[in-house]
Amino acid sequence: MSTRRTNPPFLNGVPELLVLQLLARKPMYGYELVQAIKTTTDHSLEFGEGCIYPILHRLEADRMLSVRRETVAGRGRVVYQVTDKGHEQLVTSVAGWEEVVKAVDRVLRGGADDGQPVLA
Amino acid sequence: MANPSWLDEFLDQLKREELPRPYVERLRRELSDHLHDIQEEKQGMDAEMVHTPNDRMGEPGDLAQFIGSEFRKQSFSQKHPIVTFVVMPVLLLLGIWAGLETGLLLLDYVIAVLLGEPTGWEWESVATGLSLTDRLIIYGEIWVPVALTTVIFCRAARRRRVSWRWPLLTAATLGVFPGMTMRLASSGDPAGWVLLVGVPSAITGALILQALLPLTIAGCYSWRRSGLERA
Repeated sequence: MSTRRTNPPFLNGVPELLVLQLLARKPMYGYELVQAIKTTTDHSLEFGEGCIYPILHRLEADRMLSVRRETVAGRGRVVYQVTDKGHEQLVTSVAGWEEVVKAVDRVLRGGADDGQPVLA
Repeated sequence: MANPSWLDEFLDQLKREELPRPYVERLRRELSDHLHDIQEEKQGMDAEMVHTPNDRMGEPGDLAQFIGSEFRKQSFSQKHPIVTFVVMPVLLLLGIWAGLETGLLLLDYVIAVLLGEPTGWEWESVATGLSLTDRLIIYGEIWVPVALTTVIFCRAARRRRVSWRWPLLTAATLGVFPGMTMRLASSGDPAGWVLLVGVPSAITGALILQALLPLTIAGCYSWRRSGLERA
């Protein structure tokens, strides 16, 4: 039987960034959000779909997401949307991510040209 | 209908995480809806493209563990362990002592009224000599709340899956302060005893026992927990 890790360790913080970015574009429910991640990343990121829910719940508890309940075809559905606090966090997370990407890129290209560490 | 076997196995594994029932119910509803959507998606696929729920949702045991750890990250005790395992036990212990003493005084008052005896507080009676039973009752008043507070916080640490060091720190705090600040001491009169609150001037056997009591309880909890984790 195939088993899939719920969330590889090197992806710490990345799911939250993706979730906030995608939900900032449009409110979505869990399944829809997972499909959006797959489509947007061209199926490059592999993760257990169930692990999206605790991440959504934590972001909701941290008041970065709010929820509304909808009934579709007799099934209750929880739709998530980004709050003002979530938008602020998204700006910070994107800036942090871009800094990490630049830092890694410099290392891959042979080190910082000014000899200074890129990350504090 | 959503795949019942995957969901049942997941819910079974989730029980070990001891999460609140409303949160488990919410997870059940959302994951069941997600599995429904996967099944609807499967209907338009070739047989070889159809994945099992484990492929899509993750292994039930791993997912339950991940959900448990994510939930606990949000708890007050994980965010503020010093407040939870050092400050709160002291406050709780002082509260239990205050409540117990008030309760006993009120009980004494009610009994005196019912028996038609004088109802004035007789603090001096403590200093007029105590039988072994009286002394045991007073030590019980001191030690039982200490033991109770230690057990409460050991259980909280186990449920929240915090490190075993935190309940030991609780026990050490309760052993030193305020466990050693409340004690029964001789009043100077060979037959007299008084209940003292404050820093002791000398360490007695009873004080050492009072300090060791919470450490013993927390030690037993930690030892049992490490045994269960090894098993």
